[in-house]
Amino acid sequence: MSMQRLHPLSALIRVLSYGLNGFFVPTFFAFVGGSVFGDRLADVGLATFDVLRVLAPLGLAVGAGYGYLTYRRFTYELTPDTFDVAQGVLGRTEREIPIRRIQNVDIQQNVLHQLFDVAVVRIETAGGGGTEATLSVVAVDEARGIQRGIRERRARLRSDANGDADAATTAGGTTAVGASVDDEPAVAPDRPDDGVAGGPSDGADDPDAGAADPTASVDGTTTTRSREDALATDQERDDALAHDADDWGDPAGVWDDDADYDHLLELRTVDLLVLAATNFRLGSLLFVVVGFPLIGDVAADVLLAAAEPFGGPTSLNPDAITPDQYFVLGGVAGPLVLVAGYVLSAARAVLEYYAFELGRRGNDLVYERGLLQRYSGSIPTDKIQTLTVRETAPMRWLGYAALDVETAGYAGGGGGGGGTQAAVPVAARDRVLALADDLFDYENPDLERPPKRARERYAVRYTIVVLATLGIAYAVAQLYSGFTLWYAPAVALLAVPPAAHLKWAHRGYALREDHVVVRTGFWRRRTAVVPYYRLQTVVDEATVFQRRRHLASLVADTASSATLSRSSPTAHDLDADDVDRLQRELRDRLQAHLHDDGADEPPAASATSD
Amino acid sequence: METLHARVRLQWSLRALIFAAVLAGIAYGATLLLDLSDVVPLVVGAFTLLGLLGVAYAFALYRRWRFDLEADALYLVRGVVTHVETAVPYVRVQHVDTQRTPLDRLLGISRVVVYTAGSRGADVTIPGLTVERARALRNELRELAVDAEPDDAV
Repeated sequence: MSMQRLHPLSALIRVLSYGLNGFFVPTFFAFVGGSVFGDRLADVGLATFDVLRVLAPLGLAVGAGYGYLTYRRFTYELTPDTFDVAQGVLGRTEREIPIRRIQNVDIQQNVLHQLFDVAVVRIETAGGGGTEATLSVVAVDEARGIQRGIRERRARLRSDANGDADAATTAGGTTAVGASVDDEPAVAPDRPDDGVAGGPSDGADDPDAGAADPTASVDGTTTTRSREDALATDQERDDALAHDADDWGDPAGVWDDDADYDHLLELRTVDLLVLAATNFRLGSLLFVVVGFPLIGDVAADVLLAAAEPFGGPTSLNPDAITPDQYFVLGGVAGPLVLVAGYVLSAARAVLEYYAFELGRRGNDLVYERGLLQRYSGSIPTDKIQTLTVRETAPMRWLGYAALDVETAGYAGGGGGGGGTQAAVPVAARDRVLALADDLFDYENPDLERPPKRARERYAVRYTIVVLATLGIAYAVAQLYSGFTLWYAPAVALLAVPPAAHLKWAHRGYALREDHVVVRTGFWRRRTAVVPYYRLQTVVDEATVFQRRRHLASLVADTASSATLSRSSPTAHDLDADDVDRLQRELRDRLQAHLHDDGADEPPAASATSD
Repeated sequence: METLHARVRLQWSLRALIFAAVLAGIAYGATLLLDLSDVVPLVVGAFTLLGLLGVAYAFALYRRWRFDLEADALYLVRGVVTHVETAVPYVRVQHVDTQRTPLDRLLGISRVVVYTAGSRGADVTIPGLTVERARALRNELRELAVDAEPDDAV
């Protein structure tokens, strides 16, 4: 595989965009500067327009030239072990991303891209705060080829690692000793070495890997040799297709696209409608608020019509409305905004998940979705930090659920904040649970609930909120004499007991063989599945109010980067002694599962002593 | 379990007092602007109270702070309003820093920051250590982090 350039269309796009920038920036400054310095310039005998006549075309030319250079100076290459990118016109950046560190590979196409059959490829690792490599733009087939190439290489590197373990155990000590004279043992630490736990977690595939560790230092030489062989074969393959192979990376057609692909599920129209109907996104409220001025008159009419039966005003003339009528308007506007937000959410869901398809290629989950913007991504299953079964209340009533996966990568356009990807945006509940079982051996467990006294906390919390609202309303009523409905929010007190109970009933945790399950939430119920070997810090925390009731919360931190949008999996309001015990328990299980091949291998015994 | 150095109470108290003083300054400026001169004693009283509360909090926090190097993890006990007990497994430690803010240097103390790959508990800080203890602790943690499996940081 030699160094590749981006698609020529990319050159065109860059020339245009940088060129236009180069044209408009001096134009802008000329106009601003002209108005400020116009007199001085006139003294020197220049008019603004003359300056502009020189600068603007110059800016255009420089911009266009620079844009073209960014295209020319951008190259990438997929080697057997790494993905290399070299870019930069003035400063030069050369980056080598080890294949085994790659978390996600995403392909994105907006409407224009689809028109020209090009796409943007984003490659992410766990390091850094953003995407490691962005290829904008390459041909769609090339993009898929890169995705596939990375996947195949990762699979080969992984199987080499396991294969060496096999070779080490079957070849026996004599071969290794005989070979150790000539070869460099320095490569040995490299085999299982993987800053992102790609190696140990694969131990699940090959039970010998764990046992092979003590012998690794002796057999490091075998490792070197097989790896070199693998590299050589790959080089041959790559050379063979150097020029115009149709199937990039697979001249012999060894990797059959269809046979390789395991179709898992797709969204039918019914599913898409359920998704649209049951997934309310708070962000859409922002759109409503922002868009309100645009449809002002229509909105005002709708608001007045809706408020009328409740005693609302007949017009929006500020002088003619009593405080009570304001209150009614406010009370009616709330639900209306929610409805509008709901409609927008639904539209957005349809646009994002149109024609969603999830499949499996080797060890990766691959998905495609989108109507106007096309997304296609791959999620390596061995990089998954946490799995979350997400069910909004409406979804539960309809028997549906969603599945989110979190990796340590930073997924910008992945349909979720941070490293969260919706692996399954919506599907029948058993389908989702079956997939979760497939990925993490997750059976829907019986969860242990928090103690009943936790309900008291929630009841008190909600009551305080209602009382505070009443208090504010009362204070306002004192200020505005026409406002007599201040006691109306008291009706919310009726809802407090069931709300507290429901909140309690949908919280729980369970300690399973390989993972811990934590559930919370009524309107958006999230059941997080965290494998023990993914645990980072474990925190036992208790606020003043929790301590009064001898309660505490347990937080299981992971390396997933979905932190701003979501907090770490937390088991809320458990008995304080239980949390103490559980914290100890989780730590022990983390140690036991560090290699994820059973609790029999104590960490000390498997440490390579190089 | 180990406690922090007593001088860290001074540091926290100073921080609280400075904070209260700054807020008081702003409030005083506001009273001058808004011509509310009779409210000034109230403002002074309020911020003195705030400062005293800050000092009390600093002492209470010091009493609560403990840390220990257990067999598998660094264990921290801290927090006044919210009691927090954190376990940072050695296998998850990415790297360890010693840091000294200007106030730290003035008071002759230091702090140790432990970085993990976690999202919520990403940096864990142990404040109020003498310079030698901080250095020794950093080295101890580094040894323990290396002894643990190097390929499991995520």
